[in-house]
Amino acid sequence: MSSSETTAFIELENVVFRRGSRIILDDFSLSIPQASIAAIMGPSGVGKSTVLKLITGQIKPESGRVVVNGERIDEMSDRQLNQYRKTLGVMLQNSALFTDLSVYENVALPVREHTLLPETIIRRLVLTKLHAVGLRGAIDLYPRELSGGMARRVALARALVLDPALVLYDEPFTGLDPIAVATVSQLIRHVNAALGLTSVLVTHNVTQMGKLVDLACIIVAGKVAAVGSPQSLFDDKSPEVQQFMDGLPDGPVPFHYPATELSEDLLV
Amino acid sequence: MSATNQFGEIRNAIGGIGRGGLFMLQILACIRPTVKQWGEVLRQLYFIGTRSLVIILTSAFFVGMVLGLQGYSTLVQFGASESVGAVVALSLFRELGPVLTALLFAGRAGTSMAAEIGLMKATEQLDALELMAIDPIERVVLPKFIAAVLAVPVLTALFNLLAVLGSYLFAVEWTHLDQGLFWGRMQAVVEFQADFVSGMIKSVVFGIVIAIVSVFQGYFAEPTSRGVATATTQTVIVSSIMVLVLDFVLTAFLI
Ligand SMILES: Nc1ncnc2c1ncn2[C@@H]1O[C@H](COP(=O)(O)OP(=O)(O)OP(=O)(O)O)[C@@H](O)[C@H]1O
Ligand SMILES: [Mg+2]
Repeated sequence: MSSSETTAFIELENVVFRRGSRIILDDFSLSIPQASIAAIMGPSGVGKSTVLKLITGQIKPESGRVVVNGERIDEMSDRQLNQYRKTLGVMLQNSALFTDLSVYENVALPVREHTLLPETIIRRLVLTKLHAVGLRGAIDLYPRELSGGMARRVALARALVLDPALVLYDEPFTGLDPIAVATVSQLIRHVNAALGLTSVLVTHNVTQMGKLVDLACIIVAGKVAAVGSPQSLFDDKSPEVQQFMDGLPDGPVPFHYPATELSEDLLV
Repeated sequence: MSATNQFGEIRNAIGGIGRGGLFMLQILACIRPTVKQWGEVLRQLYFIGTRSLVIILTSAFFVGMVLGLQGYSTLVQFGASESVGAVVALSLFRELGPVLTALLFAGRAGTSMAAEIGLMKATEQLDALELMAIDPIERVVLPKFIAAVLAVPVLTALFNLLAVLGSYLFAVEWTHLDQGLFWGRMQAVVEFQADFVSGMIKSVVFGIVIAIVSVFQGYFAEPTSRGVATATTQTVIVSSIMVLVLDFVLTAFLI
C-alpha cells in the first residue's frame, strides 16, 4: 500500500465494527493524506456512512484504531470529542437541516454557537457560503420549502461555514442536477485548495470521482477492495473493481443484502 | 395478563423513574445563566403558552360552571346555596385545578414536546447538533423542560381563576345568588395557605413530572415514525398516571 510520502491525516487501522452479530467492517484499514480529497465508494449498505461515523467519533470500533491528525478518536472523552468536532464539517446523507430554523439561521448556527463574532460579520460569512452554493436568494426559506437538492446545498454551506480542517461529505451529489453537481464539485475542490483542508466524500458518482479526487477507495464486504488514484482504479483489472467502476449488474459484488435463495423464501 | 408479566411492568416502571431522574440531573447540569439559553426558554414558553392557553381556559370555564351547577343543586337542598362559591373554590384550588391543568397540559403541550424532540432525533437533527459540538440536551431539551416546569403552575393559577369566574357567572347570573354572599362565603372559607398554596405546590410537582416525562419520551424515542408515535402516546399515559398517583401522595402529605 502507498504508505506516507505525505503525512496521513486520517488513519483507520484494522478496524472491526459490528451491528448486532453482523460484521460491517472487518479488519478495515485506510489512510488518507493531509490536504487531499478522498472518495469512499462501494455498494449500498456496505458501510461507507459507517466509516464516516467512525471518523466523527459517533461510533467506536470493536477493535482497531481511528486516528485523525495524530489523535485517537476512538479513545476520546465526550469533552475531547466536542473540541475535535469544532474543527470538523459534516454533511450528513439526509442533510439534517434544522426544521424550525430558516436557511440563514441553519448556516449561522455553528458560527453563533462557537464564536463571538458580531452580526455583520456572521451575515457576511453566511451569505458568502450560501452564494457559493447558489442559494443566497433563499435565506428566508425554511427547510420544508426547499427541494432535496437545495437542502443538500444548504447542508454543504453549513458544513463549510466555520472553515473546518476536515470535511466529510456523505453523498454530496445525490439529488443534484448536472449543473449543481459541477458547481458543488468545483466548490469542494476550491475549498480544499484554498484552505488546505482534507476532504472525504462518499459518492456513487464515478465520473465526478474521477475528476475530483486524489484518492479513492472501494469497500466490498467489509474490506478495502481497492485503493489508489482514480486512474489506478479505472485501470484495475480485478473483477470487483471493474464491475463497480463500469456499473455492471453482474459480477462478484453482491447487489443483495445477505439472504437465503429467493426460491426458498417464495416457496414457504 | 400473567403475574410475571405484571411484575416485569412494575420493574420497568421503577427503572423508568430512575432513568428519568438521572436524565433530569443531566438536564439541570446544563443550566447556564446566559442570555442565549434563557432567551430560548422564553421562546419555548411562548410556544407552550400559545398552544395550551385556549384549551385550558375553555375547559376551566366549563369546569367552573359545572361545579357551580352541581354544588348549587346539592346545597340548595340544605338551604346553603350561598356557599356554592366556597365549595367550588375549595375543590378547585386543592384538587381539580392542579390535576385537570396537568392532564390537559400533558395532552396538549407534553405530546408536542415529545413529538418534536423525537422527530428531530428521527431526522438526525440531534446528530447534526452533536457533530457541530452543540449539546442537544442543552440546546433542545433543556429549554423545553424549563419552559414546561414554569408554565404549569402559571396555567394552573389561570385555570383556577377562570373556573371561579365560570361558577360565579352560573351562580350569580343564572340562579341570581347575591354576589356579595358568593364572594363573602368564599373568602371566609378558603384559606390561602392550606388551600391555595397546597394546590400550587401540587402544580409545581406536576409540572416537573410532565416536563421530564415528555422530554424523556422524545429524546429516547426509537428514531422512526412509529417510535415518535409511541413516544407521544406514552407521554400522555405515563404523565397522567404519575399525576394521579402523585396527587394522592401529595394530598396525604399536605392535608
Ligand atoms: N443504526 C443501525 N442499526 C443497525 N444496523 C445499521 C444501523 N446503521 C446502519 N446499519 C447497517 O450497517 C450497514 C452499513 O450501513 P451504512 O449506512 O454504513 O451503509 P452505506 O455504505 O452508507 O450505504 P448507502 O450507500 O446506502 O448509504 C448496513 O447494512 C445497515 O444495515
Ligand atoms: Mg450511507
